[in-house]
Formats: sequence, structure tokens, C-alpha cells
Amino acid sequence: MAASPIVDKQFLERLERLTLRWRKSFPGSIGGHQVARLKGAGQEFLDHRQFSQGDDLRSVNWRAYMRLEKLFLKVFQMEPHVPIRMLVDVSGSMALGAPSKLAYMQRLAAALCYVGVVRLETIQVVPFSSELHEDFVAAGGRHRFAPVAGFLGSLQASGRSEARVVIRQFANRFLQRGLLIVISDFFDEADVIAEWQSLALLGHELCLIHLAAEEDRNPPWQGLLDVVDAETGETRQLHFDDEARSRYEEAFDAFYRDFERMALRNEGRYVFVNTAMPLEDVLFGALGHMQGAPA
Amino acid sequence: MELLNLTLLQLLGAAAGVSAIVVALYFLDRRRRRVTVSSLRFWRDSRMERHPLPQRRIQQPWSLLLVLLGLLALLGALADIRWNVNTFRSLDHVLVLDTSSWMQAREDGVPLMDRAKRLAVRYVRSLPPGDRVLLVMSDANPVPAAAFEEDFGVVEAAIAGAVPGNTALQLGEALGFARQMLEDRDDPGDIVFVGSRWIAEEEIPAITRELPNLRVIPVDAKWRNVYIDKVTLQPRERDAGGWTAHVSVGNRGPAAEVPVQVLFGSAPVTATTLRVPSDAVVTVPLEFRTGAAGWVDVRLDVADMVRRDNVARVEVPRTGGVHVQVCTKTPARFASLFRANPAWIPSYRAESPCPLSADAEVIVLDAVLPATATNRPTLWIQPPADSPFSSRPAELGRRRVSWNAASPISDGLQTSELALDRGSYLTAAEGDQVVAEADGSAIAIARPGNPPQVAWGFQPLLAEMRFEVSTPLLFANTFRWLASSTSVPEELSVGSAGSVLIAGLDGREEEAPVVLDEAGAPVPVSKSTDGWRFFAGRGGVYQMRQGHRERIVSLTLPQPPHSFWEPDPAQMMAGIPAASGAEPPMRWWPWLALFGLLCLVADALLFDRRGQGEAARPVTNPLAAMGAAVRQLFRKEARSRHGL
Repeated sequence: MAASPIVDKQFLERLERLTLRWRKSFPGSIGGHQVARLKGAGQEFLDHRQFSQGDDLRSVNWRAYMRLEKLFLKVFQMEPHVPIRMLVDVSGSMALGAPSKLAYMQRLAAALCYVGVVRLETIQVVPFSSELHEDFVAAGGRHRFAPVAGFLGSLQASGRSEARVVIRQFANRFLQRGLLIVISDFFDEADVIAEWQSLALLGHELCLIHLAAEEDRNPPWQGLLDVVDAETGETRQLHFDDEARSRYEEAFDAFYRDFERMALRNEGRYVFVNTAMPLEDVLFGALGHMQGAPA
Repeated sequence: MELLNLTLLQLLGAAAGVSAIVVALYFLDRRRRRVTVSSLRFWRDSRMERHPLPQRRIQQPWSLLLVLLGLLALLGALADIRWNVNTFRSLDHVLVLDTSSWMQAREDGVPLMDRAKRLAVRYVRSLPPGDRVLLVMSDANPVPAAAFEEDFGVVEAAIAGAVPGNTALQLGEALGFARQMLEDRDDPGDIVFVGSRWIAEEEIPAITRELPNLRVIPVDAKWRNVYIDKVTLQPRERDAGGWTAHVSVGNRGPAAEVPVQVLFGSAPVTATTLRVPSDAVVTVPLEFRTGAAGWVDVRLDVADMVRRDNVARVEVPRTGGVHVQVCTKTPARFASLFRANPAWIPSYRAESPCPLSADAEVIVLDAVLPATATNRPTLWIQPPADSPFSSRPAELGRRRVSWNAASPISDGLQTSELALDRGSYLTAAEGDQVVAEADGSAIAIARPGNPPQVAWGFQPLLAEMRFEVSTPLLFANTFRWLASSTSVPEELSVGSAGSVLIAGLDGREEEAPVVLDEAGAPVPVSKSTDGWRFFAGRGGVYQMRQGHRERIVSLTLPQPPHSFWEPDPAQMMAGIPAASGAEPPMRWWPWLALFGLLCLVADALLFDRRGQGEAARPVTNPLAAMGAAVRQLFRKEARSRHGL
């Protein structure tokens, strides 16, 4: 594998013992690596049932017929090929933080892509800000990782975040249900939890990775401030004291808890990631232990 | 306490001003900070905006305190604040150390210079700490060796490096310089002179009586010194190789019988014994002969205090005469001319073209061409057609010759002295100097260059011209101009460095003489009441020219002083006091500077986050902030503060 500018080789070698998993059973063409609870063509025996008119004679258990003179049909579990999509936020707010949320997102997305391509999964990386940008498909084994790493490394943070538009475009463009990993700070001018929930209602399994810089949760300032929105440029003059800080933290905590609640209610998963955390801790810790075991 | 000559009140005013500016900056520049956030959705709480804005509140009092402390500490360091400064009043002193020529003297084997150094060091060590000393080493010129220095170690090191010079002490200039140095000081102290008190001036300078703060530490000795004051060598006229050495011997001590020797190439050539009375100068002529070039030493065979002024050395050039090759078909015409001047040694060749002799120094071509191109100074008389000078025959009809007064070749010639019947007109090329004209056309030309050449369009030894008195003079001037490098100077002398009077040259006062040092560089000359002078700060051989006259002076002798200075007894320091032993006021400026820098660095580390384009982070107190900063510096993996 070619050296990647955003993740090093030793780190990638550690990722090879991880696997992307999902909880829902999705229909799809055969050829996947994860057994679904749906019946269909597959290798894993599931059950017998009475033969009915029109069933495939190739699935009849002829040994049971010889002994009991009744037709029983063998039922197998499906192993569908499930599409994995990764929505990555490249709006202007992702440029903030130290390290920036964008840089952190690039490394995290690259690591998840590597986990997927090593297991011969197909991952579609879709950047978004005010709309969906051109996507990139990563598939075909570890030797195909370098292109997606280069694609992720080339992303720049700019523009406003318009989740409503993005979600509508996504629902229209990607009709087949599958695993949807969203890496974003989820900052939007409007309240868009319902829109994100609509994707779960459409059948996608949501895996929300909520990125936040240290200053997003704990603003390091106090006193009189001119606060400028990184995406809109809007400025507010205010006085930030301990009382205001407390109210800010309450509002922020309520914000991410709403997302967490929505994801879990819809059989999805949610993890809050502070960009001050080492990426390894996130991949082998927070992501592995979150409800629903995303990785 | 001093800062740019400010008083304490002014310094406090400056500190208050700086503090006011800093506080104002904290009110103004740091009052409102512009920060960029990911989203404004959590900043829309109306209670944040309803909060009364503290218009006059300092947001970062700890930062302000650190900056103020740092700036005031740095200001204090610059001001060189000292405690107990009122019990000490630091003074500025000028220490004039005599480094004149006679400080080379030894008494009982000990150089007077070493005694003067010890006395100077003792004086410096007797000064209270905090005083400043300007060390001036003085002979003919006062030279500061250490500026007003508070570190006496530096002054002592400068004293240790003092060496006696070659000139006598100009006391007036040294004391005037010291007074000028003290004029600008706030706390002027003493002017202290350490030396032998032998001075170059003939009269004691008045400034010695005008300085109330003058102190003298004498370096006394029982003087016994015989010295060569001057040596002059003159070639004897009409005696090639004969020299006369005029030796002037002075005596600063009891009357003495002084043996005088003249040596050429270390071999004695003549000797005599002089009786030199006390405080007198006696001159004696000594004759000797030598045709070769070499060193002539004049030596006094005495054992006295200053050894270097007992030997004078001068280099004499070869005086065996100049070899002149005369290419002429009529050598008899030239015989009487050269016979009259033994300095010119002729050899005659009658061939045409004329072969040139290897040892000839000057060539005379009398209407003939040389066999090979001449590369030595050449006189062309009536140059033929193929010579470097173009000419055309002319009937002059006893026309008077008009001489160019600016040319050294025509020096002393009068127009009325020469009338020509026939000859040739010459055509002057670019760079040629016309020496003589007849009827508006050149008949004598000088061509400077290497080698120099002169052409005459006439033969002065023909017909009645040879009886004119101007003819030998014309030859002499021409040969001197052609062979200036081989001619013998009219006088060689050995003197002492310092201010040198240029005498015995041309006597034309309006024309400044040219003085060249050993490297050939011109030395500035100035006109004084007694004539032209130049200053030789160091010994060496100097060449002086004025017109066509030349003198060589070898200034290798130490300059003898003229008089002895007896200061007012009140000015004499009876003894050097012992060291004061007082402790100097404690110097706080290094610690203040360090503290100030630490405060500013701490402020920059704790409160400035300019690298991220953001405002300062809130800090409750400096110790906690410093701990946080250190933790941040050494933290390798930050943890989430709320640990999801």
C-alpha cells in the first residue's frame, strides 16, 4: 500500500483486526460477508418449511421425502452485499479547533475506509456542506486504499452547512438501504434532528459520529466578546461570564444528547468524539464500545 | 539612579507614563475580543446580551499586573537602580598616563614606564567603588585607552598595555583633552597625571595653573641621559664619495665626555670624543668616505638611562657617479663638460647606429640612432629622421630662445643667454612638455614616462654657444631630470619623531613641499610661523621634495623633551591613599532585567494565544495558569473534558 499522508502504516496495520458491522438486515444482491436474518439464497441453513406450489425443487429435502413421503423445503439465510455510505462534513465550521475538526475527520474517515476495504466492503464517501459533493467509491482491498486516502486528504472546509438540502439529495440519490456513517459536528442554523431521523425511517442504519473541538464544548474565552459564526460570518456582541458559560454548556450538552437519543431510538448508533482525543482511543475505545458496536 | 540623565522624579514620571499607557491599552485594545466559533446557535441566549457591559472593567487583571511589573522592572534595570546610593557619590576621573619617549628610560634596571604603571594602578585601586576612570595615554597626542570605566579591572588591563612612544609629551594638549572630557560629566572628579614631567613644550603650558582639580603623581628619577639630538649627512661637493656627518649631542645630566663613533656597515669609519655640558647640545662635524650604498650608524658609547637615543642610523645611496654613454662622432666636445663634474662618468661610442652599453644609466645620442631601442633615460641631440621625435630643419638666424619657466629643465636659464643660428623645429606629441621655443616653435621637448626622454633641436656645444655659462646648467638640469632616481640627495638627516620643520629645501615659501613616508604615501604638511612642518607620529624614513630639491630624513630617534615641569606643590599628591574598602552599592539591574523578562514571558505564555488568532483564555490566577501551561506543554495525549 502506498504511504498515506493522513494516516501512517503502523496505524493501519493495527486497524486490520477491526470489522465494520451493522445491526439491521438489508436486502441486496448476494456476495456479502455478513449474514442477514432474511431468508434467501445463502450458505447458512436456517429452517424447514412445508413445500408449496411454485417453490424451487432444488431446495427440497429429498432424504426427508424418502423417509416421510412429504415434501419439506430447506430455508437458508441471506448474505447480502450491503452498501456502506459515509457522509463527511466539509462545511466551514469544520476548519476550527486544534487540531481542526476537518483534519480529525479526514483521519477518522480514512481509518474507517481502510477497515472496510480490507474486508472487501464497498464504501461510498460523500462530502457535504450546503449540498452533496462529488462522491468517491472505495472498494477492492487494501491496495485500493491510497486513492480514497488521497481523496479525503484533498477535502477543504468551506461553505455553510445545509443539512435539510443534503438529506433530501441523499434520499433521492441513494435509494438502496444500507449502513450510513455520518461524521460531522452537526452544527446547522436550523433544527435538523428530524431530517436526520428521516433517513433512519427510510431504512438506513445511522451511525452518527459527532465531532467537537475542545473549544466547542468549553469556550476558552470570557468577558466581552465579538463572536463570529465561522460559516455565516454573523457577529454577536455579548458578555461571556461564568453564568453564561454554564448556560452555554447546558445548551451544548442538550444538543448532542438529542442526537444521541434520536440515533438510538432508530436502531442507530451515536458516538461523541472530542478532537483532543487520540484517534486510536476513539477507534479501539469509543467506537468499539458504543451501543450497537459500530466497529 | 540615572536613566538618560533623568532625575528620580523624572524617572518616576516616566514609569507612571508607561503604566498609564499600558493600563489604557488594556482598557482599549483588550476590552472586546473577536472570536470565531463553529456556530452561533449556543450563543443566542438573550441573557448573555442583557448582561450589563462593563465599559471600564479590565478583563485580565493578572495579565495587566504581569505586564506592568515586567515593564517597571525593565525600566528600573535601564535606570540602574541602586540601594544606598546616597552614601556614595560616584565621580568621574581622568587619568593621564605619560607614554612619552623618555618613559623608555631605566633607572637601576627598572623601566620608568613600569614604575608609572604601578603608581597608576595604585591610584585606581585607591578610588572608591562606583567611580569611573577615563585613561588617557599621552605623548605628542593624547589617546583615550578606556572610556569612563567603572570596572577597574578594565582600566588596570589598559594600564598594563601601555608602552612608551617615540615623541615627547605635549602636556598642554593632554591636559586640555582631559579638561574637555570632564566638561560634560555630571560629577567631575580629578585629572591625575602620572609621569616623568619632561615635556616637549619650551614653556610650561598655562593650563597647568588653570585646573584646580589637577593632581600629579610624579615618577621621579635622578636623570642622567646623553642623547643624539640630530645627525645630518651631506655629500661633499667635488668629492665623489665624500660625506660630512654633523652630529648634535645633548645632555640631561652632569657634564660628560662622550665618545662618538660613525660606522658604515658596522665598521668604524671615524670617531671622536665630545665634552657635553649639562643641559646643552653640542654639534661636531665628522667626515668619512664611501662610494657604496649602505647603513651609516652614529653611536654614543655611553651607558645612560635611555639607550635608544644613543644610536642613529641612516641609509646612504651610492655616490660613485652616474654612468653616461655618449654616442657621438665628436667626443672632444663633451670631454670638458664631463670633466668639470665628477658625478658624471662618461663613456664614448662613435658607431652609427650606436650599440648601447649594459651598465650605462643615461644615454646621450648626438645626431645618431641607437642600435637597439633605448630603455634608459635618453637625451636626443638633433634627433635623426627615424628617431621617436619628428623634426624639420630651420634657419634660426640667432633668434633668442624662450624658455618654459614651469619646466625643471629650464630652471635658472634666462632668455637672453642663448641665441641660436641653426637647428631643428620639433613637433611635440601628446603628453610632451615644451622646454624651449624659438619663433613660436618647439626646439626642446621633455617626454615624461618610463624611460624619460629629452630632445634638443640644437647642439649647444657647437660654435659660440659652448662659451655660454648657461650650457653646463642646461646639461645639469637635463641630467638631473632624466636620472632623478640615481641622483644623490643634497642632504640626509636623522632626527626624532614628532613635529618636524622642513628646512633647507627650495626656500620658496609659497610652494608647499611634498612629504612621503616609507610606503610612498603623502604626509600632510602645514605652514607655521617658522616654516612648513609635518607631524611624524611614529619613526621612519621620510622623503621631502620641493621643486627639484630633495631631502631624506630618518626619524628614528626618540624625541627629546625641552623642559621639565615643576607643578604647584598643592597639585602634587604626597602619597596615594589606601583603597577605600567600602562596599559598592548593590547592583540590581541584572536581577530586575531578569525579573522583567520573566514577567513578560509569563504573560506571553499564559495570556497570549495569538498563534491561533484568538483571544486570551480565562485564567483565575497566575499560579493555576502557569500549572496549566506546563501541563499543556508536556501533555502528549489530551483527554476529553467530558469523556463521552
